[in-house]
Amino acid sequence: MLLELAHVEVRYGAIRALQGISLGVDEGELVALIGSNGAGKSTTLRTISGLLRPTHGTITFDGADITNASSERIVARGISHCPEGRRIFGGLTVAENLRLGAVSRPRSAAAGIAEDLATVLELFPVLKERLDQAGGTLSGGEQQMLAIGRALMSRPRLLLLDEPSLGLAPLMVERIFATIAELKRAGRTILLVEQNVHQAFEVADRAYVLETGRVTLEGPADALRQDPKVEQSYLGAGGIAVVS
Amino acid sequence: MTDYAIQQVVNALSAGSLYALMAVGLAMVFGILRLINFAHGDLMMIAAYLAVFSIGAGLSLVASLPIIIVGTVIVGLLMERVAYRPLRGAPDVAVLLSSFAVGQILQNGTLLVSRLADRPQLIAFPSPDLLNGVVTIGAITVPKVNLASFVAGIVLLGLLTLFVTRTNLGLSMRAAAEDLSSARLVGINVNRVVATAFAIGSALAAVAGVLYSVQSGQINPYMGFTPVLKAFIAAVIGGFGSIAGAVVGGYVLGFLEVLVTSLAGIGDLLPAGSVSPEVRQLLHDWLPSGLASWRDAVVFVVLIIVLLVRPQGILGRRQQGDEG
Repeated sequence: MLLELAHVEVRYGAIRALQGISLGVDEGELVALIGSNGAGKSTTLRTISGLLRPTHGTITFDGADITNASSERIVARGISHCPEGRRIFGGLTVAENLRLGAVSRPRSAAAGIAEDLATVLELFPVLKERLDQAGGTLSGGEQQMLAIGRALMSRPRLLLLDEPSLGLAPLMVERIFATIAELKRAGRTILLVEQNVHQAFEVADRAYVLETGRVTLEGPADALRQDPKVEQSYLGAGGIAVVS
Repeated sequence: MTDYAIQQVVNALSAGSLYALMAVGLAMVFGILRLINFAHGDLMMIAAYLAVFSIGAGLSLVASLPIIIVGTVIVGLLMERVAYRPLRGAPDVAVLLSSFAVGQILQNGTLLVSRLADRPQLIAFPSPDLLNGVVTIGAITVPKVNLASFVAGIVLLGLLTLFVTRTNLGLSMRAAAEDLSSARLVGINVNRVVATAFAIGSALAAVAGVLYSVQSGQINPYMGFTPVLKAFIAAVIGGFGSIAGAVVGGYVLGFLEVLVTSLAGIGDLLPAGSVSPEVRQLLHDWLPSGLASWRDAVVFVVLIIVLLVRPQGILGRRQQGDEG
């Protein structure tokens, strides 16, 4: 496994937000993390990237223990986190946002950084037209593209995507999922948190279902999709599960 | 009239430069940490004392400048490491109180050192020849130190602009000021960025401290209080947390103060016949002595108006995405 969480527990004060989670992501896999609000999906991602410290358990990445590593070390090791709500630097230009995505890379990587910038701009041509524009002036969908582009600029070995479709217009949701599928085809390893369970199952290889800080179900996405419990709780009778 | 006006504009630019140099340091730190570092003014004071000691030791101002700046930067970095970094994540009030404590320690420490050195509490500042006297261009006479303040302000703020727009570290600083946890997620080393903000702020405060001391002619351990308060106002008027806002606020404050004080002389400067003698008499009676002493009151009134009309400041943006 490229990434492995073993019995990870995270507390917010007295509340145990994660109650001993174990999960893994293999090289080249797209793994979805689903569950309702407050189940601990974002907390899991924030813990992996070092923003939160587990009180228990271990996180290993590519064989190395990163449980207590600082965020900048984790990014430098190859994990990039595209946070919920996009969180781009609104007062900085699109070009500056992308440049900062590569800030963890050494000076000697300049050629590789230029290469990756070209790749990102090819993936999201609209960003190319807006390079000198402040990030905050972009539309929600464009900001999401910028957030993903920024995350890709560190040339991550693992990409964490937190609710990339949240709050976007349906057409833009399609566009973002098409991008995720494209990234997967290109061989990227992705851990995806989504409330849009239908779409997540479309692109994912495997999935974990989180409930109040525990993994309650796991397996191949195709199998989970058929699971009556998943169907009832997350897919809904009418098939509309886009709630936030 | 025009000469008088130009002279006052130069004065305003000079005062504004000092406020801007101070306000930028406050704004950089506040932007990242939400900390109002009231000990920032005491860095000016430290710089002034370092200047007195190194000039007193026979060094020229130019030769002592590196000592003054490096010394002040070391104090600024120590301040961050000892008093603020351990409190990262603590409630804002705790860190604010810590900044008052740091200020007190620096003031009393300086007092102690100057007692031990058998120096009085109030020390005359040995104005270097370089900054003494005036420059006369045509009918305009400007004190050299005012010109130096203006030039120093423009040059240093220009360099700072290049730093925050061209270098990765500078961009990281702006990014951290916008969204600290996003900055962490792209791999920015927050400790390094914070230390950089303190170092730059201290260096700018050092230069401002020397120029301020030349202007006032004397120094004491408590001299940092008024400047830091003014810098704070400048930063709030401009838009707290934004570097550009601090610069704009600094110059606005400089112009405001000079405007209020220089209006005192306006009654005598109006061309003959432009106003009736009664008005002229009224201006003469009320403005001169009256206005200059109202300077700070006017500044605070403007501050209140800004807070009422545009709470985010001239260049400030409303806070967004602050939940993380």
